Amino acid sequence: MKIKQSRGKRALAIFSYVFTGIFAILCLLPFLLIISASFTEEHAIYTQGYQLIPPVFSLDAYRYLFATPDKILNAYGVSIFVTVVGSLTGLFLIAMGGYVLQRPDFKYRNFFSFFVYFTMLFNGGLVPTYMWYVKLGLKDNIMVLILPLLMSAWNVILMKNFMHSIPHEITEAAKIDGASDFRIFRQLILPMAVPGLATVGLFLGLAYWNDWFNAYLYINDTKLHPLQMVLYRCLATAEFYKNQAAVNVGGGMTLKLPTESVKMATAVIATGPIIFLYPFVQKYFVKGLTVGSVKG
Amino acid sequence: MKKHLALALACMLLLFAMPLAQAETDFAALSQELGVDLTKPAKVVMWMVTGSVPEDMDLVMEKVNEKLQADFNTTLEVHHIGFDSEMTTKYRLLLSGAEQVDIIQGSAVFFSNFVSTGAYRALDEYLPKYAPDIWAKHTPDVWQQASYKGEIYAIPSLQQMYNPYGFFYRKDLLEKYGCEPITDFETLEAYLTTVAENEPEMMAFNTCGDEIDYIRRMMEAYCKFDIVNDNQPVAYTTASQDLDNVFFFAETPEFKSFCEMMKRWKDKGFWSRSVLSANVWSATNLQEGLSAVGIRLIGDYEGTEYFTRCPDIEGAELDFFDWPTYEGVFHYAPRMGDASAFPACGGDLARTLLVYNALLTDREYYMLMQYGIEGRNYIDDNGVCRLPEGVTEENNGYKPGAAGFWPLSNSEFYLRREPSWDKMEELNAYYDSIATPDKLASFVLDTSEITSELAALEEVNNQYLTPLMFGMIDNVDEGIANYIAQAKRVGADRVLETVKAQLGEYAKELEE
Repeated sequence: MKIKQSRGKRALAIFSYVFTGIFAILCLLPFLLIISASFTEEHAIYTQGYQLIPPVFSLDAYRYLFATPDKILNAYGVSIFVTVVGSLTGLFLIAMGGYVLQRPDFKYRNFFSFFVYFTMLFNGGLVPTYMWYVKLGLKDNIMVLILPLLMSAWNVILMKNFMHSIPHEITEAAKIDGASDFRIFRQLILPMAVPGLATVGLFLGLAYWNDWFNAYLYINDTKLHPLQMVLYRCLATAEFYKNQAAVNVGGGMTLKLPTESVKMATAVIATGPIIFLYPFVQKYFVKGLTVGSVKG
Repeated sequence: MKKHLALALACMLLLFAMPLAQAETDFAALSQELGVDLTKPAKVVMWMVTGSVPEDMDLVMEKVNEKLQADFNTTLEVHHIGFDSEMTTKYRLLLSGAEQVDIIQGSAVFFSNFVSTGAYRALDEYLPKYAPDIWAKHTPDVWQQASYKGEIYAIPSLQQMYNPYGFFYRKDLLEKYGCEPITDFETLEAYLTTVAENEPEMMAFNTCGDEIDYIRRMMEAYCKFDIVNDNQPVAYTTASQDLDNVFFFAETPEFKSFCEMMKRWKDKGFWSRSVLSANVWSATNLQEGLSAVGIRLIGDYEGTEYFTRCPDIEGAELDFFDWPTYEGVFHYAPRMGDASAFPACGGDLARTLLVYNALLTDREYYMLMQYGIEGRNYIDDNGVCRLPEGVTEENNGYKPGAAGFWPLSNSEFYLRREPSWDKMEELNAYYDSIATPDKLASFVLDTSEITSELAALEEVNNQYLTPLMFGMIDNVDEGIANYIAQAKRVGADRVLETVKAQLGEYAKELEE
């Protein structure tokens, strides 16, 4: 027997779908404009503004950015390496940290939790951090792209809360059966914490992918520049030549650098891979947000 | 057989080694002569600022270091800071002492911000001994510009620059509508009005909020004022630099007249109603055919000709109305526009200065650093810089000047660029003839007592002055009165008094 939905419920359903549908399109529009503008000729952007379909199609922006393809491809390589290695290592370390900090039988857990939390409130500042990293020999070293973001206090506390939702009885039972701590962690806790791992993993991945500041400060060797750094540099160069006509540089230049479309193209190149990745982790993400919200 | 082979090999090695040994510079003797210990190899680290690092940078530095090692047993390491929003952050970190930095870009803005912090080393005793060529080439008033509290802290470049600002406008439109040639702001307004009435496709003066500094310069030209020091927004003097007459610009009748003009222009629709949030500069709009005038530097030393035409617009021709001619006053750019400083966190200053002296005054080093490798990046065709076969502007791995070595410019070795703007020579000669020394060029303002007032004034200027300068207010008198009241509320008077006091002392020193 089919239960007929009352009229009121159906109206509500239709309204909800239409509303969220329109809202979704509104969210999507700016991004479509960005993609379209990246394929538009510079002069057309000035005269006709941003359109959903490029009025005058042109690959100038991409041609400028990929002028030396080695540079961008190398940058992609560095970014992917740093993101994958950093996220996996970081995730593992953060999971261990979060797990330990919520174990009721860990005597000093309150002290260490506070210790971690305190660093979120107070910070030495940029100059002491810079001097410290330089002294540690991290200049021009790929580790400076990985280490600083490896264990952010916020992620550790987030993971601690995720782990808290896993009942402690499991650990106790496993201990009685004679399993070592690490075995318990590896074979019991980690599989149960997958939503939490996916969430923190996504945050970590995004942080690594978007980071350019560390490269800007500490890395001079262009072969170690990540993607965001290279794109930032390209954009700064184009803006520089456009607005600093006063400066005595590259005089007699007849180049016209496509700044507006380049800005759009950098956004497309930088976010492209993340867009492709997101649908795969999406289901874990949703679960991760709601885990622990229902008690008992 | 084996013994013979071994002997032959040993002889060959000796034969090869001998010329090498003779070619080695005797650094012990050189050290005695110059008074600097050059017997151990060392490195000199130089940081410059540039928009983009040339691809051939490494190749060029290899050649430079070959020569440097032979001459001074030193290697030069060059790094760059980008010209972007994080530039000051990176600069400050470099001065923090975490690493060796011997030479750093020390032009105007950097110099005035950091010289009072003790981040740079004083050069007085070292210059005559270790950089004798530079010491001889600069006149005392140039050294005065690079000094702070009586000591020299930077080395300016050996190239005199000028920065004349003004309007570039569409000459073809002027002729089309039969307007009078533009010589002052009245004829300019007549031209803009005609364009606004007859050309619906473009705005007459399509400016934007980001250009507020250019509009401020325009105000200086119109009112015939000169700002006393770039690090403060309040104290101005007359264009003829009568240093006894220093005032708050907003309280003058000239400024009121300027604001009335801007309001008139805005009411006539010369720029868009959303000008404050726009971000395309008028000069760019001019070239895109979206504006009839654009504010820009009128010519640079190079004679860059790209911005003297509109490549995308058929039949467009540009001409200019420059403000120095209107004001009747023209100064050379301050020598500190391009200069190098020597941070306290560097190595041996004597050796650094020896190297710097060579880079700036020795032609072989100079051509390498500024132009690249002859035959690969440029060709010297009788004083004109040309590109070699197969090299274009775009793929030249070392565009002249792109490496940011502007502090190392030397007009003695300058190669003319082609194509260059045909009006450049006549304009340079004209400016040479009307140029007068800039009395305010070496005035360094100590802002340590007024930093909070300056920060507050910046906010007040953003909120009240910018709309006023773009004519975006209902009543000019009220707008000006309101701005003055707000500025005084946050300490404009105190800033003015401080500047007057310091300027008074400086003027006394000048007379001595």
